[in-house]
Amino acid sequence: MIQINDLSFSYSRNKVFEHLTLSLEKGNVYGLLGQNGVGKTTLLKLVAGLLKSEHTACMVNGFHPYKRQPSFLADIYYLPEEPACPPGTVGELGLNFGTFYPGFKIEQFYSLLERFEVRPDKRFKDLSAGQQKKAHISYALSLNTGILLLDEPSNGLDIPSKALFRSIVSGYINDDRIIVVSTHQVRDLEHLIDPVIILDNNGVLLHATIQEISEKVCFITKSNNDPEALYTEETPLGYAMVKSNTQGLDTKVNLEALFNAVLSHKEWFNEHFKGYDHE
Amino acid sequence: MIMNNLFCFKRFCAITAKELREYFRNYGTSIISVMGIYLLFLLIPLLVGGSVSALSRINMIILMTAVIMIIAPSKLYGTVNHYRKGLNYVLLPVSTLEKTLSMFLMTAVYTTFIITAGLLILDTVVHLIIPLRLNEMLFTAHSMKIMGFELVSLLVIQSWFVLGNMLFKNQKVAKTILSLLGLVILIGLLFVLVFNIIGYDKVGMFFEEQFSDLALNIDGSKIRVFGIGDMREVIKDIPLFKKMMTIQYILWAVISLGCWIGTYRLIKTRKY
Repeated sequence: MIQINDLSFSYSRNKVFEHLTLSLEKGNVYGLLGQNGVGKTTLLKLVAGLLKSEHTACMVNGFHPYKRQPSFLADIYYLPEEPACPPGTVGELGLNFGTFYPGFKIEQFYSLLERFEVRPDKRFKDLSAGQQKKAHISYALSLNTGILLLDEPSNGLDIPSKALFRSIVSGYINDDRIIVVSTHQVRDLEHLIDPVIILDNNGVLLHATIQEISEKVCFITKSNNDPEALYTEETPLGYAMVKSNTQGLDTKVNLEALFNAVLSHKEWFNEHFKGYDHE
Repeated sequence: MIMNNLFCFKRFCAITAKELREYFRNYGTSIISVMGIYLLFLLIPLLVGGSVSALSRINMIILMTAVIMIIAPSKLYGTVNHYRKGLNYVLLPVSTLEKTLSMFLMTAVYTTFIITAGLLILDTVVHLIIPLRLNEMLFTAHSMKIMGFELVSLLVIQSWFVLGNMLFKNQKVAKTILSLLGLVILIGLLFVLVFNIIGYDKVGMFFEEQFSDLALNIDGSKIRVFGIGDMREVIKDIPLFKKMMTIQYILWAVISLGCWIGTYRLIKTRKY
């Protein structure tokens, strides 16, 4: 479990978080959304222990991440947006580093590599950026850590690989695991992430499950614009809107539209999602 | 639980084994290059009909060892404090103590052993092939003693470079050399200040007194002066130098320990 309690963090004078409170439970794939510079990567790094937080402000599985104790590190993995490639082959990444993780399964690593069509005997420097990313994703998933932090995992993946990634992660999640995916590519991961956390410079704008979102707002397309809509976007099919779900409609959540709606109507969402406070 | 998070022998062995596996890929070329340079140093004079004295061979081995030992931290652990490349290392479920001890084993023990043994074996092989031109074997108790002392001082210098490797983000070796030069200048200025306060005349007289003893010692002995190491043998019985040597060893121990503790702290608290 990840417990963030009244977390404040800044890079010298640049304040990133002030009194941020958030709780992430096992069994979920959290989608961490937000504009550039709101602190998505910073939050993941704080949880992974790569940045320093106050002792009680960030607790992960009962550990203070920044202490980087082996028991803590053995159950968490952070995959950055642009992971650095080790000098050897893809297979060596698993053999040299993976064996330190108690949950690591070499067969699973090779099986994932095969599904992503990456050869384990290839040197990292001989792979394209997309293939390198697939190798790192395979490695991260085969570690089988309780907490997996993925920063923009779909960046650089081709279209079939994105679908494959969604499929693999969907099969990977269970009641003992937490996956946090920070992304701008919401369409790539729309069917994967639940709950959704939207951050802005003042903290958490929205923290709700897909079901809670669809209960409160609906996503419809109409030929005419509706001034009451929280967000409207002109599309070839008409006006795609996000509206307050007063009629109890069951519509499919469009994360991109939701994100824009939340940014343009912060107070409305704050008011209507108070009951769903996951903090 | 606390102890397990601080040090676990199994984990320590695992990280040491991992670093041993990666060792020659990261540093093998440099070690082989240095051995090649030493071979050329031996062979070029032999090809033109000259010979290479034992003293110059020892000095060359020490120089080559110094180069390898000083570069080792940045070659083996240069990416540890890199914001991207260092992540796999820092996130490895191994305690900071185990990481630091393994780093010590790789840089101070293994590297020193590999390069010294490699160069000595190379020297011996060349000596066995052409014994007339390389007049002495280096595997003697006397030359080993001299080299031993130099290796200890190199280990102290290396510990400074290990710290520099963690402290500086790029051009680590160059910046560490500059910092070392800065330190030497600072200590030199401190001595000038102290001598100024005491008075140069008094200092001069004091050393003259000590050196008169040294002259007697050299006259009274039949020790062949082989190099600076032998000078140390000659003067070691003079009380002042005895004290100075003791202070030097204590200082070396303190500096080395300080550098390694600093490295431990930097690994532990580095932000990425």
